Order: sequence, then structure tokens, then C-alpha cells
Amino acid sequence: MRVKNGFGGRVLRTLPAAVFWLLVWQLAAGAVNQTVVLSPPLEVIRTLIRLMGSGGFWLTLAFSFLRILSGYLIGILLGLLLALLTRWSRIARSLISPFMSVLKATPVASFIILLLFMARNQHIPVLIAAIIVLPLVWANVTKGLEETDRGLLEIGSVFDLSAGWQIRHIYGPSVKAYFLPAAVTALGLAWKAGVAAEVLAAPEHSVGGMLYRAKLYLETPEMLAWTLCVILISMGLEQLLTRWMKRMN
Amino acid sequence: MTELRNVTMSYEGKRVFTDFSCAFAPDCAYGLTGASGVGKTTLLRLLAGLETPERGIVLRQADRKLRMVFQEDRLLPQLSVLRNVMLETGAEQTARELLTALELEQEAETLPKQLSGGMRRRTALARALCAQPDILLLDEPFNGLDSELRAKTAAVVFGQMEGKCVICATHDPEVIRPYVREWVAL
Repeated sequence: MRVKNGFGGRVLRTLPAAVFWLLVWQLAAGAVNQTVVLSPPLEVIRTLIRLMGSGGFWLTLAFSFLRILSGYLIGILLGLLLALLTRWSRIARSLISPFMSVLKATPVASFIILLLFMARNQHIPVLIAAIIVLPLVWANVTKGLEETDRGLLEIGSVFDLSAGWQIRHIYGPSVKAYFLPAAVTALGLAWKAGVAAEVLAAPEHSVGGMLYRAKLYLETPEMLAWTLCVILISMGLEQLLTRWMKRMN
Repeated sequence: MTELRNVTMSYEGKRVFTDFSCAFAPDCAYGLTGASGVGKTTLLRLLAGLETPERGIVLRQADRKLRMVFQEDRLLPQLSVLRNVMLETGAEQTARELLTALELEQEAETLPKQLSGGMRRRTALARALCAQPDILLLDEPFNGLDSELRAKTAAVVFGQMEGKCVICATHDPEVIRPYVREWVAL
């Protein structure tokens, strides 16, 4: 049986793997035999459906999404600007490169704890998402600028093309090839790190806050339901962005 | 005049010019000849301002428009043939006329990756001509063209540049011999 491309085909292709891992989850839950430690998948899915029926669920999701999206976009913008500076200023490069290395190497938890002393709770997930996204976007955009076809840059020089035109038609395609995959990867990372920051910072109306509350009251099915929600949203966003990226190319 | 005066230049570790001088009149077609690696491309790049000599100077008149056709086609892959040709000027009518003269009118909306080598070459030539330069530098401009197309293309290029300065580096001097007034052997 030939499986077509498209949404239906993709579902059919991923279905066996999904069923396999649900079975593994079910067997593990059965082996542990304590819902508070590991709830079985059907119970988690029922809990998620119940949560989705409440207005608070969607409000919480919206607030978390907007917070983390803001941080993501700030990280993207800063990453682009700093990459431009790095490309055209030796001094900037000598200062920015080590800073980005430190950002990449520092544990997210360290940043979250530091920010607990410095920032308001509702801002911490925004800042954490930006911190996660920034070095990834910076590194890829810098690479894209460096890899710009020298031959085409000489055309830009000989043919007296404006800087704006060169940015759009010569630098742009090269940067796009590096930036777009980085943007997709960064989205998933921002979402995970942002929710982790919400667990510790516990701002009002947050997915992370709901995870923490479920853990506090030993409501494992609810905790796993929220986790499943985060996973599904992350995968959905990556899919959307990947599709948009393909259209751009 | 466009000139090189007492230019000393190395390229990729190899000395290409030592105290070299040469002048090019604004209304003359020149043929550059010499063995591979002797410095024809380097000379054109010096004239185009893409290289700086170690010693000596390159003199160009600021009010003269200089354009170059490189050995590689260097077409923008995301733009159609027409958009590549009218890259600088936006002059669609002129671009279409040049495409017709170079037998590329059917490929106006084609992307470079779908073109043969000869078509890409002619597109690069059309792009340089569309800018209506005063000085045209050509680096092996007819590579990839069969002998009949070479002759036709050379006729179009030198016809468009009649009365202006053309400096053409080539391994095949016979194609440009009818048009060249002076030869520079390196």
C-alpha cells in the first residue's frame, strides 16, 4: 500500500511509532502501578480533555504562549542585530563571541535563579526564552553572512548596486539558508526553557505554574496532561514554521 | 584614460606584475592575450577596483561607468534572466532588446539554473551591456559558446560598445580580431 504525502500520509507514517510508545508508556505505568508516580496514557488524555473544557486552560495557554513568543522574537531580533555587528566590526566580534559562548554554556537554571532576584516573575520566562534563542540565531546568521557568495558581492560592487539591494538580494538568500532552520530549532527550545522558567518563577496564568501546582498537590495526571499539551504545542509550532520556511524557499 | 602605472602585484603568492604600466584609451577596443596564469584576470580586477596593487597606482576617471563580465557567470540564482539583466538599471525595454539581440528572448522568465552554460554566459553579457557602460571589461566572455554563437555574440557586444572602451581577455583572439584595435600581450 502506497502512503501518499500530505497530512494523511504523515499521520499514517507516524501512527505506528506513536502507538508503540503509548504501549510502552502503558506498560511502564502498569509496572509502577501508582498513578501518583506515573499515570497511564488514557488517564492523562482524559485529564487533558477535561482541562481543555475549562476557560482557565485557554487563558493560561494564551498567556504562556504570548510570554514565550515575546522572548523568542526578542532573541531573534537581538541575534540578527548582533550578527550584523559581528560581521562588520572586529571589536564587536571580539566582544560578542566570548559572550555568546558563555550564554550557550550557562545552565538555564542558573539564569532563572539569577533573574528571580532581578526581574519580575512575569518577565522571567520572556527573558529566558530570549537568552536561549539569542546565541543560536546569532551563530547561524553570522555564518550565513560569512558564507555569502563573494562572487555575487563583487557583482554588487562592480554594478554599483545599493547597500539595501545587496542586503535583500545577495546577503538575504545566504542568511535565510542558515537563519530559517535555526529559527525552527530555537522555537522548540524557547518553549521548553520558557515553561521551565515559569515553573520556578510561577507567574500568574502560566503553564509552568500549573505544572508546579500539579506537582505540589501530587496531581500527576494533571502534570502529565500539561506536559503533553506543551509537547503538542511545541511540535505544532515547529511544523507550522517548517511549512512556512519551505514556502519561503 | 584608464591606466596602470608602475604596478607591482602578487596573486595567491605568485608575482604577477612588476613595475607594469599600461594605458587604455576611452574609445578603443583592446585584446588581452597571454598564457594561463600570466595575469589577464588580475589586470582586469585591478582596473575594476577589485584588487589593490602592492605598489603603483590604478587611474580611473570617476565619471566613466565601468562594468565587468567575469569568467564565472555570477547570475543571481533567485532572479529570472530578465531580472538579472535589468539588475542595475531597471530598464526592462533595453534588457528585452538585448535578450533578443543575444537570442535569449524566449528565456526571459527562466531561472539561471535551468539555462545551459552558453545561455548563462550571454545573460551575463547582456547584464553588463544593459548598464550602458563607458568601459567594459570582459574576462573570457565567449566560453561555453559554439563558434557560430561566438561570432554572433561578439558582433552584438562590440557593436553595442562601438566608440567606447572594451578590454577583452581571451584565449581565442580570432573571435575578437575584427573589432580589436590594439593588443596587449602579457
